Amino acid sequence: MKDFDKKEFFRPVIVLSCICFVATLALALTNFVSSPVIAANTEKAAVATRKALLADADDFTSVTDTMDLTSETGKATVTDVYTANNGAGAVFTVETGSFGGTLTMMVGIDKDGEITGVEVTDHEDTPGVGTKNFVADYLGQYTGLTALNTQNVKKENVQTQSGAPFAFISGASVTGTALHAGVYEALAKYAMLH
Amino acid sequence: MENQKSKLSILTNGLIKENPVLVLVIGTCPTLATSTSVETAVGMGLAATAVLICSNIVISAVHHFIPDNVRIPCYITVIAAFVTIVQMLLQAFVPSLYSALGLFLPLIVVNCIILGRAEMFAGKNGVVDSALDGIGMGLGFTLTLMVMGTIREILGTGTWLAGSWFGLAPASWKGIPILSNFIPGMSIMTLVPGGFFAFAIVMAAVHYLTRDKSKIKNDFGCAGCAMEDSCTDKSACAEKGAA
Repeated sequence: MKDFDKKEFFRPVIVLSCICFVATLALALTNFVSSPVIAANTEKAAVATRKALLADADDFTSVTDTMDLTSETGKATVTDVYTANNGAGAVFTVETGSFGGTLTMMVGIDKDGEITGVEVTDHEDTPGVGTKNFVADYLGQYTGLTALNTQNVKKENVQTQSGAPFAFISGASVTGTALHAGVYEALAKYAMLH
Repeated sequence: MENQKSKLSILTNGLIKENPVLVLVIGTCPTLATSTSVETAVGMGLAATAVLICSNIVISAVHHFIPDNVRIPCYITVIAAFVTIVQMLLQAFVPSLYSALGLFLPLIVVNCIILGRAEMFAGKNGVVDSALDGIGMGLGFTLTLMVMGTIREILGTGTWLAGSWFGLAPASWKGIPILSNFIPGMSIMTLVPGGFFAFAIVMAAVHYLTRDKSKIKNDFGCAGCAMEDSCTDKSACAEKGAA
């Protein structure tokens, strides 16, 4: 057998470690630069989405800490709740399990308990398939509803504001159901506010 | 390897002659997944090109120091670092592009084109040549995606160039209606089977157009083969390639 060659043995280890070290350093630097910008972007987007979902509201206050956010449905969880300072309603941020992973959405509900809008803020679903559920035409079906009959979007028979029955998107119903359960959860938590 | 290849030919190689998707047939998965519309095709193509150029440059600069038996882990580390950097920078400074690319961005790490070029080209050539190769291959990838995206978008949804264009297009922009005024979109074209149809058609067209002009197999030769160093029967391979 050949003699144990120290150089042959240690060189790959050292080179790979060096490359990993440099790569980590570069990533840490990039993260240092980008993470505050990302956090600011996320916060700004959240504020803008809340405003868009509940146009009548003047300003928002977080009431997340005062509520019991244990999931009613088991599928979706409300992660924060903001109420409008002028009593126009509330906006719920809901996390729910969808096809590709966690889906984050916001649901606006006005003082009469009517949904003012649903918006998906983050998702890991397949573009072009699951994302068909995120267009305004589809999400607009929730506007004006005060209650859902079921958590399963395929069995939903509630009448939308236009009078047509609620229509889910065939072939993308995992995402559709995730959204549906999220809205269901938000409505349940809204009931607890009062 | 013929080192006398002109810089221009290195740059243009990736466009048609050694097009990564249509001739080398690598990177098929992201090609099928992101060519559903021209918008996602351009986004994916440019992001992958950026990573490809950076990783080609770094790998060609350090390949002398990398022992052969750990070269793949080293390449992957470099590529993954670049992908993550691009991802973080996009999320911070171009959030609209970041959300449009979504899932596909982290998938660049395992894009065969990038690892394939690191192995086939950057690991054997100088920095400038590797950068040119990265640009050419990246553009070839982007152009192929755009052609397939055009076919799939027009047949699948009836429009062309639709989308928010990473937040740049006005909100009223709905794309150029090509077929949508006459027939409803054939949604199979935006699904996986349609991807294979478009892929096959484009690939066949390119092979038909280049059938006499390029001797692809000869050009690759043993130098283009990832197994060159461990190959024991190069002459047999060369004969087959020439046939």
